[in-house]
Amino acid sequence: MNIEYSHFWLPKAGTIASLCEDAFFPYNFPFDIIPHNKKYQRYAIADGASTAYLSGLWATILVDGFGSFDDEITNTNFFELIQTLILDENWNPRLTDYIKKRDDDGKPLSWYDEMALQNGAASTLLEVSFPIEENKLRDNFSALAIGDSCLFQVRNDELITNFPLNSSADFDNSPLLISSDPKRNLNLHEKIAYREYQSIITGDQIFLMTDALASWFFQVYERGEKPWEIIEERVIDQSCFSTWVEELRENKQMRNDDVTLMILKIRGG
Amino acid sequence: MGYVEISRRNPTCYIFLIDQSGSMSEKIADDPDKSKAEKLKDFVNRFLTNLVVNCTKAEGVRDYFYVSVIGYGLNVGSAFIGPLANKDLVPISEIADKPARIEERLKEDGAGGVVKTKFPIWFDAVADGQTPMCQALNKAKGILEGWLSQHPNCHPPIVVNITDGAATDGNPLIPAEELKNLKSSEGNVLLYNIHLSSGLATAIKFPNSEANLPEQYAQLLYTMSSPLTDDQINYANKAHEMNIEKNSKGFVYNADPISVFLALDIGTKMASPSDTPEIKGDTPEH
Repeated sequence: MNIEYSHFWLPKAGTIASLCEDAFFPYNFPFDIIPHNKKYQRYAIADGASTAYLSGLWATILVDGFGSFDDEITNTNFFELIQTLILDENWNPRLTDYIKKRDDDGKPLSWYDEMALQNGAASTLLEVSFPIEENKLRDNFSALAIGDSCLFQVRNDELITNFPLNSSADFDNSPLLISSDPKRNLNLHEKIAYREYQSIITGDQIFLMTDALASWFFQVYERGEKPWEIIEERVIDQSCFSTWVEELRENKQMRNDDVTLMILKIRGG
Repeated sequence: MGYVEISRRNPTCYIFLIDQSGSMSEKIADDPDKSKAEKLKDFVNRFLTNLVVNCTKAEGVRDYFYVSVIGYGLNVGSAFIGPLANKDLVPISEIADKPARIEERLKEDGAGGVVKTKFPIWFDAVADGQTPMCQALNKAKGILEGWLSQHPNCHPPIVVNITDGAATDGNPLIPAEELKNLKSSEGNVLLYNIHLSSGLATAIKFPNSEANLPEQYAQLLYTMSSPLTDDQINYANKAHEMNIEKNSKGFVYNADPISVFLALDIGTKMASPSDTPEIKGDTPEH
C-alpha cells in the first residue's frame, strides 16, 4: 500500500496568506516514495490560536517537529517530546532569533510584546503516524490529538472513524490548546486523545481538517448526507477548494476561519 | 445567541464608568489594606493590560477595541492621565503605546517564588466629591451614539460600571435604560455592573434574582444590568468551571472584576486579522 496525498488551505476571508495561522506537514513533496530505513510516515495539521502571540509560528513548529520525527509518538511520551523535540530544539532557538531580529530592526519588544510572549503561543495539533516495515506501510495507523482539528476515515462509502470529536455539538470557542509555556500544559496530560492500531485497507480515504471544515463535515453527515462525496466532487485542485470554501462561508454553512484540508488516499501496490 | 466576531474591520468599544466619589476612599469588605478606589484602579489598569496583550500580535497591536474610561466624582469625564488625558475614546493600540507610566510589581512565579512584572498605569485612584452616576451614564450614551452611527454593525458595545452603590444625582435606572436601548444591528448595548461594597464580604457573581442581594443598592444595580447570553453562560461554566444559572445578569457584588471579565469572555472574542487585502492562491510561510 501507499498513500496518495493532497492538501488544500485557505486563510480567513479578508486576510493575507502570511497571516494564516494554520499549519500542515508535509508541505509540498511527493510522498508515495518511502525513504530507506524510515520507521514512520507522518502527517500533521495544527490550528494556531488567533488570540495568542506567534501562534502561527508555534503551529508550524509543532507540525514540522512531530511530522519529521522518526520514532514512536504516543500519549505517554508526547509531553516529553514537546519539551525536547519542540521547545528545546526548535521553539526556544527560534524565539531567541526573533527577539534578536526585532532588536536588529530597531523594533525591540515593547512591554506588551513581552507580556504576550510570557503568555505563550497556543495551537491545536492532530498527528497521524503510519508505521513502516521493510519499506512498506503496515496495515494500521495511530492518531494523536489535542483540540478540535479532526480526522475522518471513510471506507466503502461509510464513515468508519471520527477522531477526536464525535459531533458538531462538540465544537466551541475554547478548544484544548498546546501552549509553548509548559506550565499551561499540565492540565492536558489527562486530556490528550490517542488511538492506535486503526486498520487501513486499499481504497480507504482519511481526511484531516481544522475546525471550521470539520464542523461542516459533521453537520452534513448528521443530516444523513455524505460530506466526503461533496469533497470528492468539489475539491479537484486548490482553486476549486478556494471557490468551494468561499461559497460555504458566504452561505453561512461555514464560519470564517483559516481552513486546512488534507486528503490521504490508501492505494494498492 | 452568538454575536458577530470582533475584527479590525468591525471593532467594538468598551466604556468603563468608574466611581471616583469620596466614599471610594473606604475599604472594601474583604480587603482591609486597600481602599475601593485603589482596588478599582488595579482592576481597570489590569483589565486594560490584559486587553492590550490579547490584541498583541507579532506585527503590532490590532485595533479590535476602542476604549473609554469615564470617571465620576468631583467631575464627570475622561479618567485617563498622562498622554491620554481628556481623551474620551481611544483605540487599543494607542492605549498600548501611551500608558502614563509603567510600574513594577511582584507576582508569584508558580514555583513558590516571586518575579517582577510590569504594571502599566493609565489612571490613578481618585476619591472625591459626590456620585453623579446618572451623568456618567448619559456621558456614555453620548459617546455610544457617535460610535454606533459610525459602526452600525459592530458587536454590541459593552459598558462596565464599577461603583460602591448610591447615585447622588437621581435615579440611575432611567439613564441606564436609555443607554441599553441603543443598539447595533447585532444587539443592544450591554451594561454590566460591579458593586464594590463595604458591607457583606461574600462575593456574589451573576445572580439570576435580586432576592438574595444584601443591599438596596445592589438590587438597583442588578436591575440596571443586562442579562447574560446563553453563550456567555456556557463559556464561563465550561472554561472557568463556574456555575452560572440561566437568566443570570451581568452583575457582581464584591467579586474580583478580572474573574468577571474572564468569565464573560470579554476581551478574547476577537477575530484573526481581517482588514488587510486578500491574496488568493498564495501559499503560507513554512
